[in-house]
Amino acid sequence: MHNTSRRAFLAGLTAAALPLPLAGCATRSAPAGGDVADYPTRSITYTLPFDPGGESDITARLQQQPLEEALGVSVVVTNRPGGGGAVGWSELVHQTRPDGYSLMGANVPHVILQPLARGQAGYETDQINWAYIFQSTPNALVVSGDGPFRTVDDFIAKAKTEKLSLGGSGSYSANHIGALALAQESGADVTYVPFSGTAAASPALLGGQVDGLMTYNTEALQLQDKGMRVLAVASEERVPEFPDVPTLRESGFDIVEGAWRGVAVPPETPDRVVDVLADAFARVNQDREFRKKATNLGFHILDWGPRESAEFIRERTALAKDLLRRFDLLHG
Amino acid sequence: MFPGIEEAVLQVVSPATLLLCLAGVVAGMAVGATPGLSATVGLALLLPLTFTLDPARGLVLMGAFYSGAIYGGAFTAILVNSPGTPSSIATTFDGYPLTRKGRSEVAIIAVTTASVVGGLVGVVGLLLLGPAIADVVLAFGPQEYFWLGIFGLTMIAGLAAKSLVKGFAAGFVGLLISTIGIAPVGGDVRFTFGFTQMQAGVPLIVALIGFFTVPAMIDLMVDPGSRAAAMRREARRREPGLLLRTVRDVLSRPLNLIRSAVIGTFVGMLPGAGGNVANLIAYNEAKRASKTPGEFGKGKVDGVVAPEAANNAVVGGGLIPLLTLGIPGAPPDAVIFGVLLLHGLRPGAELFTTQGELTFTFIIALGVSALLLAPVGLIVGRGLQRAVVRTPTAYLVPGIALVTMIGAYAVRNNPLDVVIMVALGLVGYGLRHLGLPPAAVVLGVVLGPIIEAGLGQGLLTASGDAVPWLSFFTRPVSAGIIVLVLLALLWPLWGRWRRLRAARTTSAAGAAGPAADTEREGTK
Amino acid sequence: MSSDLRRDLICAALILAVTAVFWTRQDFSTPTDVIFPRFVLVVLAVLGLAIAGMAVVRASRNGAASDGEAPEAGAGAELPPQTPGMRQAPGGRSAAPAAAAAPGTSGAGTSLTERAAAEDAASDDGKGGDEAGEEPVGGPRGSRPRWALPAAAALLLAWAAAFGLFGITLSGVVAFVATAILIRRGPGTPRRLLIDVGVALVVALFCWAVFTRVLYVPLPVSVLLGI
Repeated sequence: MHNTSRRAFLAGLTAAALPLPLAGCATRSAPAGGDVADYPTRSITYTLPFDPGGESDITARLQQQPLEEALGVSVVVTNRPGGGGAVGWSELVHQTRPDGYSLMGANVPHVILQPLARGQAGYETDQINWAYIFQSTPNALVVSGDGPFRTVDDFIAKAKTEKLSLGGSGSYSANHIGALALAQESGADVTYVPFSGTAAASPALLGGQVDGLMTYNTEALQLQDKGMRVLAVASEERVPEFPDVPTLRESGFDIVEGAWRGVAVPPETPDRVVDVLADAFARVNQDREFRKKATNLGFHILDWGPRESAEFIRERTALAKDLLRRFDLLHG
Repeated sequence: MFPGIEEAVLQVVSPATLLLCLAGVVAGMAVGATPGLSATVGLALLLPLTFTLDPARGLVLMGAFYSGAIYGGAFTAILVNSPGTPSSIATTFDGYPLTRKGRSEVAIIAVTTASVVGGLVGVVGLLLLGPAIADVVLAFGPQEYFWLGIFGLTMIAGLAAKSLVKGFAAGFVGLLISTIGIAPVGGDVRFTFGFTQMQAGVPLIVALIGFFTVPAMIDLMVDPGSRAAAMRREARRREPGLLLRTVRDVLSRPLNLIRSAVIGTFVGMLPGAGGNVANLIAYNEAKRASKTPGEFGKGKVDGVVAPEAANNAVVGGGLIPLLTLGIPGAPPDAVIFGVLLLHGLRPGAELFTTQGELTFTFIIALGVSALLLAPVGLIVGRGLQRAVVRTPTAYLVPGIALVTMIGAYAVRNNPLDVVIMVALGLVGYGLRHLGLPPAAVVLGVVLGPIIEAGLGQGLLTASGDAVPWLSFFTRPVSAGIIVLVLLALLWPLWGRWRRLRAARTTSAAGAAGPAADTEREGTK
Repeated sequence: MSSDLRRDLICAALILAVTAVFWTRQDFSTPTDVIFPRFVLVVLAVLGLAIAGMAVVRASRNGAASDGEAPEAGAGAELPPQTPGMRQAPGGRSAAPAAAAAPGTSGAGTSLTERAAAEDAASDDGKGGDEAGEEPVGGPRGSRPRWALPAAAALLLAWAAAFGLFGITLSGVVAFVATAILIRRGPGTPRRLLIDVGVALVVALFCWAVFTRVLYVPLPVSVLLGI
């Protein structure tokens, strides 16, 4: 009896492990080894600075298998959540060995806004060494389907006569500065209401507690199914999932805003290693199964290597700094 | 009414699916019983495996794993005062005292019974009420969550055994701990005392292990003899018929089971609250409804039945908003949401019509998993119980210490959390001796974010109104919860008044005993 | 009754101190983020004062009722302990854990070997076993020497710190054995010690293997050993 039960307990632990190749040894600070030239030679840890189950986490777990195929070594996905990502990124730039065996997911605009707004985020935006940016989810403006707003102009016109509330995911997030940018460009009076996540904000619109949502295209798709109206998307061009929805630019507001996801390494990582990783992520993006699932999730696949990514970050940082300054949200 | 349900039943009873359920339940139990590894973390680990399965099988595995994990959290809560997941906080209140009395086997059997019933009630709620009741979820805005949190705080009145003032002081210490880190609404960084890592605040599970498990370990280290003779007796004893007797005993009070399961289903349905709140409310209501509330906290079987029935009902309840509205009712549901999306399935009414077969396969498999908890739990759970009871204290304590330290670390893979855990444990040990109940502190840590987010978001959503804070009183559901809050506050007063009156009549009749009793009561 | 008073006053003082420390750290400004912590701090301060006030009132009422009690109830921390077995660390310098040590503490049964065994564990806490107990209150088995609590606290803290610094296996084995010795109140025979080390090795390696290989938790490892 005793023996069987203990065996059952062990069987349980093993059952949880079935999917995972047993070759990987997930040590945080494994001894240095291997030449840069034949990188990678051993298991790579791919850490997400967010809770499991979120969009970034699911993306990483989708990437895991094609990434292993592209790199030829095992890849272990773990989480290091805290501070909206700041704890993880702070560790990436200060404590992680720059040997390419520890990668971390990184999101724009989080890595730009946290150091600007918090003062002591624990890292600086330019310390994040980008290997690749692989996908984006643009902002979308969503309102109630049976409400008075049929176009962005309706919404703005109303917001000029009374205070309207716009829900969204988190403070100093893509949704947050998206709402700020809209208020700035239009001169409308909009109060941004942060919720604890993308999904957590949706009931507020469905239940009529907010006048609109600044959310992502992924969530907008869900909301459209439930009879909500998508007024605009904040992308450069119209997006395939909403062919009839105008961009904010078409509506006369020069706003391109959303979340961009990528992967970063510590600052001193050799260029050769960064290039190997960039190649691997490029190949992951070509994986048909991965593309299909990522598209199902509503992600827009991007292929920006280290240099393009760094350039992009510089642009966005200047924009964000300007915007936060106007709303007096810059730290110090 | 349920298109595709026949095919769903056939698919669930196939050996492959049943085996998947079994594997999921067993693996879930193991992860759930490990402090620090929550159901969410386990489900994320499982995610890659579901990519290789078809959608229905993948969901079945995840559902079974989720049920098992929530149930498994009770084992360590009972045996070593360490809630394996935040859904088993209240299970420690009576579970560990039961263990200390040498009745851990009874506790394990009771929570198994409760979990099966709770799980089934949740599934039935999901099946029958699912689409119909979804609108209730939407009636809960920020203001309602604020009041729900305040309602939760009234539980302190029940947790504070001796002094109400100290109980509330402990609760507010918990609320203060919850404000450390990034604010839920404005994003300000608070009370980090210069440590960058403190931006992330104190995770609930770290506070739980700290306030509950560490003091229990210290007790055993300071006074190893206190691991009472009762426990050693239990290790040797074999009680024939204990299983049936306990199950019958638990089932003989169906009201407690049903009440707790309904609370779990309802609270699970609310996206802003989950198993961590549901189990506490269920415990409190069980105590309030009991004829002998004084026995709670000292090892009462009903005290472990209520939270465990509630938290397994959360599994089904949390899926109601997920499957109908695409809103995860509890954190683990977010992972299940991801699996649905990966396969191109979008939650909503059509999930119950055109995708009926898949959806009902998932729901029925959840029910089957709930039933499987009984045999698997009785074997695994009692095996673990025997192992713990038989391990000598000199090995049990360092063993628990090692596992809880790894657990505290694994919450965020952060070594600082281990230090925070032990530090909070020493604080908790001290608080207990100062008369500040650690359970009230933990209650504050659980409820703080709910109250604060509700307050901030409520004020912001109503910022167009002339007086924003009035919105906290004018919304009908809010008003309803306010009434509940008032009732909860007045209940103990009413009880005292009733006892006083009873005492007066008896003392008028010439009895001295009860009068002395009320006097002690009067000093608070 | 006065030990209750002292306990309540320590409790109130700690609450007020924590409130004061947090109050000075309000370097954040967003209106929605200020309301809640400030409300909590104000309520805590009020509750702290209430605890102190009620304790004093109750003590003075009790003092009036039974005249044998302490004369000035308001004197607080200076009051001598009245109840046997309810002794406090001198001068009220004690943090919470030390105050906690008081109830039912007994110094009986502290043999020399036992003290020696605890010495390393309790090294950074000066008061390891320096006071003889008043009265052996513990049961026949329950030896609760005075050093046990500080030793346990120091051991756990050291273990937690070493966890991140030296890796789980190295710190785990050492601390496991130390805890076992502490609980047994002595290392016992070399054979016993050998068994302890063996058990510790098995448990630590098992945990390490399960968490890193199966659950993919990147546990901190020892640089020397690599695991």
